[in-house]
This record gives sequence, C-alpha cells and structure tokens, in this order.
Amino acid sequence: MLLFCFFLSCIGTIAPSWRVVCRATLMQALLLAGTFVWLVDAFLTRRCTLELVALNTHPDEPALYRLMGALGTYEGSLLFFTLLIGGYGALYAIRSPKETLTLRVQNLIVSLLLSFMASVSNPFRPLANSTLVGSFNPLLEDSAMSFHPPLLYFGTTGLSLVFSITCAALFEHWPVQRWVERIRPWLLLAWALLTLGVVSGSWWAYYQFGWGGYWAWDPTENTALAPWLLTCVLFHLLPTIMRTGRFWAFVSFLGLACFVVALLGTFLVRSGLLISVHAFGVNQERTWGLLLINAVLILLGALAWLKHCNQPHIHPLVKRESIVFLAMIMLFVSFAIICLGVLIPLVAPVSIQASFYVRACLPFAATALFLLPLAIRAPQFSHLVPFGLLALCVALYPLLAHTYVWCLPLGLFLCVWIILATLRDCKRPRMWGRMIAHIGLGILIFGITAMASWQKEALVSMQPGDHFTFNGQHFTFTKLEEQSGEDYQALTATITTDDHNVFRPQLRHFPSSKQTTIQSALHTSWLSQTIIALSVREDNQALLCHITYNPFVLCIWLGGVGMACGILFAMISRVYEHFH
Amino acid sequence: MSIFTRKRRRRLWILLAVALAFSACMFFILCTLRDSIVFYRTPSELVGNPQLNIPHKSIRVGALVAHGSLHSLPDGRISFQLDDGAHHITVRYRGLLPSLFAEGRGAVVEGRFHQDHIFYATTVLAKHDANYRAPK
Repeated sequence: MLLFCFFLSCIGTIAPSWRVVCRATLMQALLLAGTFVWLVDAFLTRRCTLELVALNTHPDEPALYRLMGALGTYEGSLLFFTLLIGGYGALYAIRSPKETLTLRVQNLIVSLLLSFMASVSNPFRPLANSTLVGSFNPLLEDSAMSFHPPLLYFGTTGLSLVFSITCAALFEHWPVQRWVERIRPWLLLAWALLTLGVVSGSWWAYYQFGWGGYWAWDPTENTALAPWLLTCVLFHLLPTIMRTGRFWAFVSFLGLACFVVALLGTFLVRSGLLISVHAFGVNQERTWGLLLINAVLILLGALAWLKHCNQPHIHPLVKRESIVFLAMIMLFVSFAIICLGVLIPLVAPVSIQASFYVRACLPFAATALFLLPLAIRAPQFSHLVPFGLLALCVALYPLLAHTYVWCLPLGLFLCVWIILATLRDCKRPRMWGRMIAHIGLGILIFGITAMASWQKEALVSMQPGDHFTFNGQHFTFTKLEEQSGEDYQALTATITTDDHNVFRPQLRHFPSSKQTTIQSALHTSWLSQTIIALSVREDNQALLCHITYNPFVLCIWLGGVGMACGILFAMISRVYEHFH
Repeated sequence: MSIFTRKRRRRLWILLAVALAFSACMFFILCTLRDSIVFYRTPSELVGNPQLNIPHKSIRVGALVAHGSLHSLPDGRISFQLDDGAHHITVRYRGLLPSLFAEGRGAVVEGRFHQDHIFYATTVLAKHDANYRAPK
C-alpha cells in the first residue's frame, strides 16, 4: 500500500497535465489516510504481528494511550506527518485549481518521505521475535499527549505548502500579488496551529515536574520556536511586499526557509544529536534519511531562489512599512540568536545556559515589541502620546513599592503600551483579528513578566503531621496513602491549607516499565497557581516536597491562545470576504 | 569629485551604519555567549585533568548513576556517584530528582566542584532512553 502511494506521488510529481497531477494527489491523500487508519486500528486492537505495535503497546494500557502510541512512535509519527503533507496538497488542489507546479513540489516532498519510510523506517514491518512485550512510555501517559503533538504536526506540515507555493512562484515568475493571495490563508492556518502547538507544549512542560517550567530554552522548544518566528516575520512583511514589491528576495527566502528550518529542527532533536529532556521517538541511524530529504529540499529551494527575478518596485516605502521592516529585522536577529544557541553544542562539547537566550534576545525582541504600536498607528504618532505616558506611569509604579526587579518595569510598560494602542482597532471590524492577536501578545508578556518577578518556590522535608508556612499560607501534611490505578501503583500525599484547599500530589510507579513518575498537584486561584510536587527519601520515608507559587501564570496560555484565535479570525474573515 | 555623487554618498553612509550596527550586535551577542557557555565533561576527563576544575565556573558532567550509590544525607541532600566505567565522581544535590532518574541509568548534572572534591549540583537531568517506548 505504501509502495502504491509512492507510485502515485511519483506520478503526481512528473505527470505532464494538470488533470493527472490533481487526481494523483487526491488519490494519494486518500490512500495515505487509509494506511494511517489501518495502523491506528492495529494499535487499538493490539495486532501483535506488527513489530511496531508489539513493542509499543501493553495489554494493561488505556485505549487513548494506545491510540497515541500510533502517533508517538517514530515510524507512526512519520506516517502521520506524510499523511498531513499529502492532505494539505489535496486541499490545495481542490481550492486553487490549475497550479500544477505547486502540487508537483508538494508531491515530491511526499514521495521523498515515502521512499524514506519504505526503505528504512517501515511502520508495517512484521514481528520476527514473538516474545517481545513492550509498553508506552509512562511519562507520556498524559492527556496533553492527545493534542500537543498533532497540533505541532498540523502546523509544521502546513508550512510545507508555503514552501511549495513559494517554489512554484519563483520558478514560474509569478507576479508578487498572486503569490501573496495564494500563500496568505495557508500561512495563517499553519501559523495558528503552530502557535497552539507551542502553547500547549509549554502548558504540558509547565505542569509536568522536571521539564523546566513553561519555557526552559530546551533544544526541542527552541526548534519549535525558530520556525514560528520565521512565520511571524514572513506574515508581517506580506502587506509591504503586496503594495511595494520590495524585499522579494528576503521574503521569498523566508517562505522557503520556514519549512526547511522546521524539518531541520525535527532532524536535530530526533537524531539524538542534541540532549533534550523531552521524550519522543529518537533514532540515531535512521534519522540521517531525514537530513538527506532536507538536503534535497534545500537544493530545490536554493535553485528556485537563485532563479528569482527582481520584482519591480511599484511604490516607495511609507513610514508604517519601514517601521514594520525594522521590527521584523529585530525578530529575525532573535531567530538567528536561537539558531546559534542550538547549533553551537553540535560543534563543541558545551551546552548553552538558558540565560543566554534571554539576555541575548531580550534587547531585540523588546525593540520589536516597542515598535509594534508605532507601526499600527503610523503615521499619526500623536495619538500614542497619552498611551505612552500611561504605560510609563504603570511601569514606574513598582519602583514606588520598592520592588527593584529590572524586568518588571520593562514588561509592564510593553504590555500596557501594546494593549492600549491595539484597542483602538475595535472600531474597524476588518482589523479584529489583528487586535485579538496583539492583545493576546500583551497578556502573554504580562504573564511572563509576573512569573519572572514574583514567582516563589521552596523545598520542604516533612513527615505526616508536619506544618509549614509558604507565601503567607499555612500548610498541613495530613496523611500518606497507597492506591492503585489502571496500570500503576500510586503513593498519594494529602496536604491541606488553612482555607481548606486540598493538594494530592502523587508518585506513580509503573510495574510494566519499572518507572516512577511525579504527578504534581495544583491549585488555581484566579490566574495564579500553587503547585506541589513530591518525592520519597530513601532512608526514613520522609517526603521531600517542592512547592511553587506562580503568579498570573495562566496569562501565558490565555495570551497564547488569544494570539492563535486572532490569527484564525484573520484567516476566516478574509476567506469569508472572498466568497461574499 | 564626480565619484561621490549625492546618491552614492547616501548609500555609503547607510552601508557604514548597517556595518556598525551589525558589528555592535555581534559583539553584544558574543559577549553574552561567552558568559553562558557551560563545558560538558565526563568523570574521566575531570579526574585526569585537575586544571579543568575552574573554581566558580559551572560545568556539566554526564555519565551513568553507579549502582548502590544513591542515598540521602542527614541534611536533606541526596548523594550519588556518576561513573563512566573508568572513574567516578561524587555528586550532592538538594531537590527533587526527575522522573526518569535511577541507578544504572544515564544522568547529566550541572554545578561545580568545591574544595572537598565533591560536585555540588544545581540541576540534575535524566537522560531518557533513545527509544520512545519505556525502557525494560
């Protein structure tokens, strides 16, 4: 079946006429979907004749996690990835007819992935040794597993279409307006899904103990942020290039680079070349195929890019466009810094501390954020003066309260400055998408600032009956009990506060894999959260308890989801306008 | 005189300004980078070369957690040994160990040596198995 798909994608790549290419694309997408459904079914029914299924499922495992096993394993995720790329191709074939070259490039990507899968990473390899019994990694037995990886896959694969359209535009010398019209909805869709994927990953890393909080500048996180930043830069330059035709070389480079960077990041973290705390299918030897595919795509992209002709400059830049361009250059520099930090450990036996990214990116990102209201309100800067003064007052307020954390005034200023300036858009319904996304950004900045300046944590060693005080609250460790769950044994502590909030952090032991995981307990009051995680000490059964107070932490995900909603709103409203 | 037309002079200034901004950015980024690089060592490298233990400079050490070496100290710290087959170092840490941390498995610690030749870790990371499925 895979071979047949491969055959179809080859036809889709080289066939001469539009009708054949289009039909091959649609058929191949359907066939890939059928193949994937078959694999999912094999996981759900635990059909152990397949090596992949036998090694990654366990009879005691709940059905949801078996389903996720199909997505989470190396071979399964690759099949899903290929299916999505084929699916995007099919959608594009239905929506924008007669664009043969775009579909050819898209089919080329599918055929490369399929040939890689068929040769070295076949998910349907039969089982040779029938005594093997495996299990799914218990660290990933979490509901977030069901939406975080699929969202990221949806976003990344959407960028493949951006790559294909840009390639076609460069090879066929499209007028730049046509390119912008074609690319805009797909770019927005991919960007929104990528945003949701990154935000959900950040949420998972936050409540899972030991993954370094909501953002730890881990290689995995950085390689997801890098294409996000590129997509952001690309999208913000679209209006400029649409009107003036300037920066075509840079913008088309971005269009090609988004997907290549995303795929390169996938290769880097999946090959095990970079040490990451996040668990997923890693495979040292076979992953080099991904690098090969990437090399082909880079070659194709480079060919297309070198062929590009200069677009005629229709109009000179206006103030707003120059400001946007400057801000986007700042974001591009942040992207370059992240790439530098990710790539250095590959060439030298060093690791880069998280503080590097914060300290190096902050001046550039802060400048870009400062320019945001200027760009929105240009050229009438006088409207901004009251907002600026108000934001300055808010920013200086913590100094009166004798809080001298340097990032607090900066963060408060930026968030008030951005939110106030974008709120003026509410009179123009066409701009609501932009408004929602930028207000989300402001809320996100507030959440990060609050976490950086007001977070508190403590480490307490205690036994049942003990009391302790943290952040002005009294906690009592009332009891410790053993329970058994679906496929694990749990040790549960009960900790109560004065106002009768109950925390039940757990230690779960999975006999099937001989692993112990820490399940933290959290209590939410408005937008702030208190989290308790625990571990047993070897000697006298006393517990070591890690407790953190995270002020306004929910703003981070509220803002992130707001950004994604704004982007989706912008896409849907434009498509709606198009049809009416 | 005719070489420096108004247009060319303007371009020259822009080029100079861009070059200046670029080098200033590079200087700033590289300075930040120099302060945040942490060297990655193995116990054998550290035991063989005492000059690698620069005081007050954070390093990362990666190896296997030795069997039978994990225990708690009276002051609440956790002590274990990292062994790469040839040499081992003693590590002390105060905090919760990550979910995948166990004797016989790989771990990466970040911290520094004190005068007593004991490594005081500020961060402990467990290296997960190279496969997606749970280790046996």
